[in-house]
Amino acid sequence: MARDRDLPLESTHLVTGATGFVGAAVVLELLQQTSDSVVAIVRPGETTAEARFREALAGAAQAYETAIDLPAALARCRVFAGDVTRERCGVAPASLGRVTQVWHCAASLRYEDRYAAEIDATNVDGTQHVLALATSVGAEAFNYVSTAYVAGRTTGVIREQPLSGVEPNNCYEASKQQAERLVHATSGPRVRVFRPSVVVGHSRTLGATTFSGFYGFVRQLVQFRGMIDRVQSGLLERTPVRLRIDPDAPINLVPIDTVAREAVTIALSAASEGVFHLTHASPPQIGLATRTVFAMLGLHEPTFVRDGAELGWLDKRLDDRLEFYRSYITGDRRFDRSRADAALGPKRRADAEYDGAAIDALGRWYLARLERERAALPVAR
Amino acid sequence: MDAPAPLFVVGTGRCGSTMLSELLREHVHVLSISEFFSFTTDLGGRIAQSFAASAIDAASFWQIVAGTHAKQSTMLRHGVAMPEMLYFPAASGATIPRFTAATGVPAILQATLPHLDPQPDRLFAEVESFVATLPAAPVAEHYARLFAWLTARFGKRMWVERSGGSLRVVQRLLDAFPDARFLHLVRDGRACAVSMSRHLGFRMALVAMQLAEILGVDPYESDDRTWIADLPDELLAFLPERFDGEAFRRHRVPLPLFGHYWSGEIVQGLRELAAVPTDRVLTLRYEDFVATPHAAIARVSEFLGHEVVDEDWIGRVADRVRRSSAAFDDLDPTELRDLTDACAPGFAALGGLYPEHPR
Repeated sequence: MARDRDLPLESTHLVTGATGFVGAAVVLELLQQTSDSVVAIVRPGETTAEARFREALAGAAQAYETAIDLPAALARCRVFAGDVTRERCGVAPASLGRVTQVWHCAASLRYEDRYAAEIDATNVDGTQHVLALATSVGAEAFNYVSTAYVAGRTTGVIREQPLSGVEPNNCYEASKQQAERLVHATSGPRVRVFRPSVVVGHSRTLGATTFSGFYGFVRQLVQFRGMIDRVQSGLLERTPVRLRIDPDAPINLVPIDTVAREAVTIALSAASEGVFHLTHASPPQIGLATRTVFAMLGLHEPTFVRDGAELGWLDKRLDDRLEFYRSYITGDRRFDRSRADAALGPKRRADAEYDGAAIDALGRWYLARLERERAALPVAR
Repeated sequence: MDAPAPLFVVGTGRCGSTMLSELLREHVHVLSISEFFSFTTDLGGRIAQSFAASAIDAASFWQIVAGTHAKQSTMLRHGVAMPEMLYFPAASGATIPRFTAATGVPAILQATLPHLDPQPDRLFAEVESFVATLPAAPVAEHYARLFAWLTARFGKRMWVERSGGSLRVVQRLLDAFPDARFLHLVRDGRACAVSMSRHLGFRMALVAMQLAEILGVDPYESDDRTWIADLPDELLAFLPERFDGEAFRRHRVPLPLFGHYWSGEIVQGLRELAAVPTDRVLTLRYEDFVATPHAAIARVSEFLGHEVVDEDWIGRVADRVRRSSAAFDDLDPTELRDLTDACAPGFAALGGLYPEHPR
C-alpha cells in the first residue's frame, strides 16, 4: 500500500495490547499493509510475552483467514515484556530503538465497580505511561484506541471531537473518557483517537478472538437462560421477558477487519490527526438485533419496555445482568464519521449490512464456541 | 417372602419428606435410607456421575458412595453444613472420629449411616468391606445390592429411600429401578420456597447452580475461571477458593427463584411420574399429614405393602407429626405476589390437589 511521502520508508510501530482483539488485528494489518517493523509491549502471563504475542497473532490470522506469511511477518516483530500499569510500561526506552508511531490498544474492558482500581490502573494510568514512553522514544504519532461509547449518556449525533461535559454510564466509560483527555492534552507526538463502536467478528469469516460487547451480551443471555432452565425448564421459551431497550435506536456493530483496516489506513496518512469514529454507517436497530439473538437462543420473543417500573421479577433479574450493555441498548446515538471518511477518502469501503441473517450468523458463530466451552457443565436432572 | 418393590419418597425441596424418613425409621420392617442421593450427587451437582451409564467396578462405586464432595466439604469447613448432616464427632462412636471437616466426610456418612446407626464409623467400615466384594456391574445393580445388604444387616424386609428434592431424579431412579414405586409428597409451593430460602443446602444448590451457569463450569469441580468477571459481586464470596461462611449465612436467594424452582420441579416431576403405572405412585399432601396424621400414615402403611405390616406403627409415630414453620402470609405484598406468580405453573400442574390456590 502506498504511504504518504513525508512518512519514512520503513517505520517502526510500538503497539500495546497486541494480544487483544483490536491490538492483534492492528498488528496484522500493519504487517500486511506495510513492510514496517513492530515492537510489541506484552504483559507476560502463564507463558512468556513472546509466546503470548505469537499465539495471539497466529490465532488472529487463523480466525480472519489472513493471507500472510506469518513466520516472515513475525520476523519483523520484536516483543518486550512490559506492563502499561508501570512507569514507561516497565521497559527501558533506549532498548526499543527508533519508534515512528505508537498504538495504544491495551485496555481493561471490565466495567464493574469492584474492578475500578484495575480499570483505572490500566486505562488511565496505563495511557499516561504509554504517553510518557511515546515522548521518551520521540514517536511522531500517538494512536489511541478508545471507544465510541465514551459518549456515555449523550444521545443524538455524536461528533468526532474531544469530549466535553459527558456523563459516563460506568467506570469503564469514565476511564476511557479520562484517557482521551490525557491523550488530547499531550504536547508531544501528533495524536489520533480512534473510536470503534461494538467490535464484532471478521466481516467474512465471523472469527473473533476475545468476547466482550456483542458477545458478552449473547453470553449473558446464555447464562441467564441456563440458570432459569435449571430452575424451571423451558420457562423462557414459553414466557416473554420484558426488556428495557430502545428498539428503534441503532446498535452500532463494526467488524474487526474494518476497524483495523481503517485505523491503519488513517494512521498511514501522515497529515491526519484528531478523533475518528470507526463505526458502521448504517447500523441495524436494537430491536432487530435483540429479537434475532433471542430467536437464535430459542428464547421467546421479548417485549420491549422503556420504563423499569414495567419489569416483573424475572425481567429485573435479566435487566441486572445486562447493566453493562445499557449504553448499547438504550439511547439513540448516531456516530458521525465524516472525519474518518474524509481521511480514508477513496480507500473507504462500503459497510456490509448487519441484517437479521448477518446478526444471526455472528451470534451462532459465538454460540457454537460457547457451547463447546460449556460442555462440561453438570446435568440438571 | 419376596421383598416388596423398591420404594422412593420423592418431592421438591422442603416438602416435609424428612419427617417421613423419621417415621419410617420406626417401622419394624422398613429400612429408612435417608438422604443417600442428596449427598452422593453433592446436592444435585453430580447426577451424571451417580447414575453412570456404563458398568463400574467396586472401587468406582465406592467413590460414588463414599466420595468426599466439594460442596459438602466446603460447607462443613465453613460451619454452614446442612442440618441433615448427622455425622458429628460425638455421634461417630469413636473418641477420635475417623473423618473431620478437614478431611471431608464421605457422602454416605453425612446422613444415611448416622440415620441408621449411632456408631456410623463402624457401619461405614462394614459397608466398605461389603462394597469391595461387588463385581463390576451397572450402577443400578450396585445400588440394589447395597440397599439389600443394608436391609438384611438391620433385619428389615424392605427399604425406602428418601432424599430431599429428589423429584429431580425421578427419571434416573425409574431407569435404575424399573419396578420402583414412588411416594410423592407435595406441599404448597410458597411454604416450600420460604423453607428452602432458609435451608443452607437448597441455598447452596441454587448458588452453585448460578455460579456454574455463569462460569460455564462447575467451580466446585473445575478451576477454570475464564468468565469470573461475569459473576455479580454477591456470588463471588461463594467460589470454593474464597468461600465466606458468614456471607453465605447472610446471603438471601430471592424467594421467587425458589418459587420458580418449585414449579419447575413439580411440572417436570409429574411429567416423569406420569409414565409410572398409577398403582405404583401415591401422592400425599403435607398439609393432610399435619391435619390428619393417622389417616395419612395409614395410607403410607397401605402403600408399603401387605408384606411389611407393622400393626402398631401408626400409633407409635402419629404424634410425632409436627407442622414446620414456613409461613408466607406475612411476606411483603410485592414479594408474596412475585412468589405466588412463580408458583402458579406448579399449582396448575397439581390441579385438584390445591384447588384454592392461584394458577
